[in-house]
Amino acid sequence: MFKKILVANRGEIAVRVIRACRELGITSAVVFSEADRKSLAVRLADEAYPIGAPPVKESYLVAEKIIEMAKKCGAEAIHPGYGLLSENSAFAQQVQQGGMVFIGPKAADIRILGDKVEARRLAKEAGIPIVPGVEFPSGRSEADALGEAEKLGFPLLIKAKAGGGGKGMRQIERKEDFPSALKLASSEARSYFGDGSVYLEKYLHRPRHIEIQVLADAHGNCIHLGERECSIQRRHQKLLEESPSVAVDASLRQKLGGAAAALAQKAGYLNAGTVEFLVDEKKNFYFLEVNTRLQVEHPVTEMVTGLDLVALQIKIAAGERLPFAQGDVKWNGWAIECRINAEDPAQNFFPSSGKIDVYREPAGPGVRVDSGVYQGWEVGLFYDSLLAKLICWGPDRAGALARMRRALEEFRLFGIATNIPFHKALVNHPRFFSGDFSTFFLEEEKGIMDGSEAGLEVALIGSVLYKELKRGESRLRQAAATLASQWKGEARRAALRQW
Amino acid sequence: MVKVYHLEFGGQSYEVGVEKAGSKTSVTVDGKKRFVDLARLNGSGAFSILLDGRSFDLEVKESEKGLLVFALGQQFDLIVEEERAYRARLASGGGKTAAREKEARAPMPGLIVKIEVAVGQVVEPGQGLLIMEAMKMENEIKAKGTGKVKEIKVAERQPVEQNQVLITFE
Repeated sequence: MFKKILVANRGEIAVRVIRACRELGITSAVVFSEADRKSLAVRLADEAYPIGAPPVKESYLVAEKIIEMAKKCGAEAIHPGYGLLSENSAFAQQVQQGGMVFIGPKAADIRILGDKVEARRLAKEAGIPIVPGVEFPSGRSEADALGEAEKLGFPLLIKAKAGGGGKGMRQIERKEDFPSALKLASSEARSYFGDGSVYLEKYLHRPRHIEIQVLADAHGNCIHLGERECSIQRRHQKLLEESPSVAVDASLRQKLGGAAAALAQKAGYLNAGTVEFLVDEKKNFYFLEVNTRLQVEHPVTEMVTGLDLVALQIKIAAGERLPFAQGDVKWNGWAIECRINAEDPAQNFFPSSGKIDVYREPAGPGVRVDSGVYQGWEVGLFYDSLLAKLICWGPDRAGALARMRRALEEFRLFGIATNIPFHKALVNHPRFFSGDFSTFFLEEEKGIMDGSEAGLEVALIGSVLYKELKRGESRLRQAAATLASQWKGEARRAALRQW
Repeated sequence: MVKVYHLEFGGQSYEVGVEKAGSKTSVTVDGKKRFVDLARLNGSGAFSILLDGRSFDLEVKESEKGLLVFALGQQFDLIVEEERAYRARLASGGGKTAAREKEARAPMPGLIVKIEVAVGQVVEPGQGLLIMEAMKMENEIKAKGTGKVKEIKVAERQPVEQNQVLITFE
């Protein structure tokens, strides 16, 4: 096993990896930007090393600096977390060339599976249905593209070939909008990913986003850990995830899991990965893409399987065998995760920033918080808006939701705007509760937060009482000052009387 | 004796009465009287409030406008005035929104997606000025007060820095 691991990430995921290291008796080292000197990850890690200015391009994305730091501090392996350099095959390669282990898949797999076209080709070969679509290299004519688009039919999606996380993605309803959307998507793809090639894809009506967690070791063992439902999304950003999914029964789970494991096996995949599918109303499923890293929402899988995915990632990277077989995986109960983001619901969920003045996490039975913040922490605008993940487990979905409602009520995070009120409205929404939803849910339920200004009356009363308190305090101070000067005068008079 | 406070939130006006009798304090909102107790939790602005026995946590911060209050996970930017100050402002001709817009700035680095006003146009508080994209999100920059657009200093598809002046008003 490794003696020291360097964590090339920040925020809650850096904390998550540090925790796994500590439990395994491994020394953890983190790298940090100037903005993160006082971060929770830096405070919790055994060692911490600066790598540059706050913008990610000058710190967390500079592979050379990170590798140099890792070598200098004697780390044997690097955990990339998610985002940042986690799906960068060149980085994985450099880590290996530097004589260290990249905790994740092989560089070649990251490259092949991260390429949507290559990944689809592999899926097709493995016999997995795919959403009809076509690659469109930059440089081909607009007329050609329009021809391809008409063959697929509208609405359709334009995605960056090399993209992820919704960047450079566009939904086109009508033929007339296609040429300008293509131009924008291509230029966005070029500026974000350095490649203007795009991918045109048929747009499915009301699909669910369901993904399968896979694990593969270096000894040919490859298993799946069931599904995660991630249909609650805004602008392709996941907000709430759960495992299992109301839409997946044992037979569909077996089909999806089997397909995901087959694809991983075919690719000769190593370590943890996620195969994403779209599932339509008739339970047909289509391969979407592979995420060659740990997912943000991995805790819901951990809560229902009882496994520690980060510890398993580290063990697999160290060459150990998976300590169990597919038949040993048992699912117990239901888990739900709410992503607590620094986003202001009143400002169209625009990122918010500032100091966290009051912070108290919920606790008690079945509640887990994976957080990267603390009271007094300053939330800046340099990074992702994810502050913490609130995960609740219950024996069934209703039980998990009841806990989530309770835990959201308990969560105190004052000083900056967060999406906690949104989550409260969501977990109390009858349609969400019924399980009848798709990736279109938030589009269809735009008014989800209407009438949820229950806090206003408390705020009005509280602010008036605060004003009264302030007035009382200043009057008290004045009285004290007057009293003090009276005493001084008396003392002076007493001193004079002596003579 | 009941003391009346005038509050404003989101363009709406509210009135809250406070009355102290011995050790008991009561408030009246919308004609409904309730007993309250406020306890400071630490040196900062964190309080526990009991409202007819119902327990809430809240935070109160002084802000540019008045008070920034966090309650039930939500954030409220409130203007709070005592009766006398409120009447004085009304008498001096200051309406509901005394603030006059001078300029609109970018709240963070991003890209201007759409400009929704023209030079010479008079804007009302809350009216959309332009749409900006930052961190993959689109957000409308709204007028904070009334004003007449003097100059639009940015163009659509133009990237802007945090705090950059976008629009000036006469």
